[in-house]
Amino acid sequence: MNMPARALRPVRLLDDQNSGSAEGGTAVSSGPIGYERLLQTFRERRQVFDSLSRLKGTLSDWGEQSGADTPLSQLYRTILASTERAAPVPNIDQMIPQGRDVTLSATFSPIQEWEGYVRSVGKGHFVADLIDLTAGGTNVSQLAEIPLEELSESDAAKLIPGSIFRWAIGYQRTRTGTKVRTSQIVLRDLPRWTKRDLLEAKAEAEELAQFLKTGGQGEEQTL
Amino acid sequence: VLRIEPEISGVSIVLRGNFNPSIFQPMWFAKQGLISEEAAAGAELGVVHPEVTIFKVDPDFSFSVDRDRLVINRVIAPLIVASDLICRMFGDLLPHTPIGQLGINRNVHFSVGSFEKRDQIGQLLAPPAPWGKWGEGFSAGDETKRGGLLSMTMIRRNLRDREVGWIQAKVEASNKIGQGRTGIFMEINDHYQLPDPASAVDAMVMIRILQERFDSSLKSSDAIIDQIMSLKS
Repeated sequence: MNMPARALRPVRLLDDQNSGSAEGGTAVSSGPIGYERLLQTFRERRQVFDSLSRLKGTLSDWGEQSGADTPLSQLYRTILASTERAAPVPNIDQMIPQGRDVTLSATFSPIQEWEGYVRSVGKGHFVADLIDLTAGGTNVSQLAEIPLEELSESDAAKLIPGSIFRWAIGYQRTRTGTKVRTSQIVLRDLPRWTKRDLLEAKAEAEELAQFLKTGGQGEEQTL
Repeated sequence: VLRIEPEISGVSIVLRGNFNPSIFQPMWFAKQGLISEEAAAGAELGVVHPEVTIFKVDPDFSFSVDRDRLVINRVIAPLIVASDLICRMFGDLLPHTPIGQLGINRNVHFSVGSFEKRDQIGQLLAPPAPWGKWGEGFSAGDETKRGGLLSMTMIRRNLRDREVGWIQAKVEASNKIGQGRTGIFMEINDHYQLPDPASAVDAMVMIRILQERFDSSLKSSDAIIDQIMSLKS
C-alpha cells in the first residue's frame, strides 16, 4: 500500500474523508464521497445542464429554419419542450469561496464511553446511573456524582432528573497533532414519543405479558 | 476498544431521499433547538443555495445536503450526537420527508508505525503473486516509486438483520496522517434501504433503524477495523 500523498487542492470543503480513490463505495457510502462526491455530482449535473442548453439552442435554430410541421419537427419540438423544463443547475465551483478550508479542526477518539441517566441535580453536581457501553453493558453498573462544570453551559441549563447523556473519555487530537486527554459529556437530544410509539410499546408490552402468562404456549393450550 | 488508537475517528450518516436544501441553514437548526444560537452564529458556511447547503459547526459536526442526499459528519466522541441530530430532525421536525436509504459510515485513520509495516499489511490483503510478472515490480524502488495496494473494498450481503442492504469495508493508504506514509484509512459502510427506495413516503423506517442500530453498527464496524489493525502484529 504505497500511495504518495495527494497534492492539496485549492479548496478543501469539509473533506473529512480519505478521498484516495476516484470512485468507490455505494450510493450511501461517504467514501471518497462525502463532500468530494457531492461536488462531483454537481459538476456532472452542471455538465448535463450545459449540454441541454446547447441542445436547446441547436433545436431552436433548426426549428426556425425548418418551419414545416412534419413528424420529425414535432419530435424536435417535444424534445425542446423537455429541455426547457430542466431546472437550472448552479456552477458549484463559482459558489465555493476559493481557498477556504473548513475541515473540522479536531478529532476525539473515546477509550471509555458510558450512557448515563440523571437521578438528581444538586447545586454544583449531579448524580447519575451509568451503563458501561465500552464493556458492552446494557444494565446500570455504576453510580456517579459528576460536577456540573463537566457540561457545556447550554446542557447544564437543560439538565433535569431523567435526562439521558453520553459521557466519553479519551484523547482529543488537533489537526496540528497535539493530543490531550479529554472528557466530554453531552445530553442526548432524542425524538419525542409519538402517539404511534406509545401504542406500539403498549401492544408489545401486552404481547410480552401474554407470553409470560402462558409460558409461550398460547392460552388455548394451558390448563 | 480498538487496539490502535485512531488519529482521526469519526462517523458519517448519509441519507438518500428528497430534501429541500434551502431550509437546512444553521439558524434553522438553532430555531428548532437542534443547536444553540451561539453555535449557529459561529457556524462556517460553505454554500447556501436552493440546490445545495454546506456548513460546519466546529468541532461538533459538518453538514451537507443537496436535493437527494444529506450527509452529516462528526469526528468528536460521543459520535451518537450525529445520530440524535438526524433522528430529531426527521423523527420530530420533518417526518414526512421521503427517505429510502441510510448509510452509517464509520471511518478511521490509524498509524501502523512505519512504511514497511503498511506495505506488509497491503501485501497480506492483496498479495502481489497473482499479478505475475507485473506484480513483481510493486516493491521495487524507493518509497516514492513503490506500488501495491491502493484501495480495496469488500462487501457482505447475506445479513440477517435486514431485508435489503449490505456492509462494505474499504481499506486504503491514508493520505491524511503520517505524511501519507504510515497510515491506513478504513471506512465501513453499513447500508440499509427499503426494498424500493423510490417508494419511500416518509422518514420513519430509516430513522427508526438509525435510532435502534447506531450503537451496534459502530460496534460491528469497529470489530472489522480491529481485525485489520490486528494484522500489524
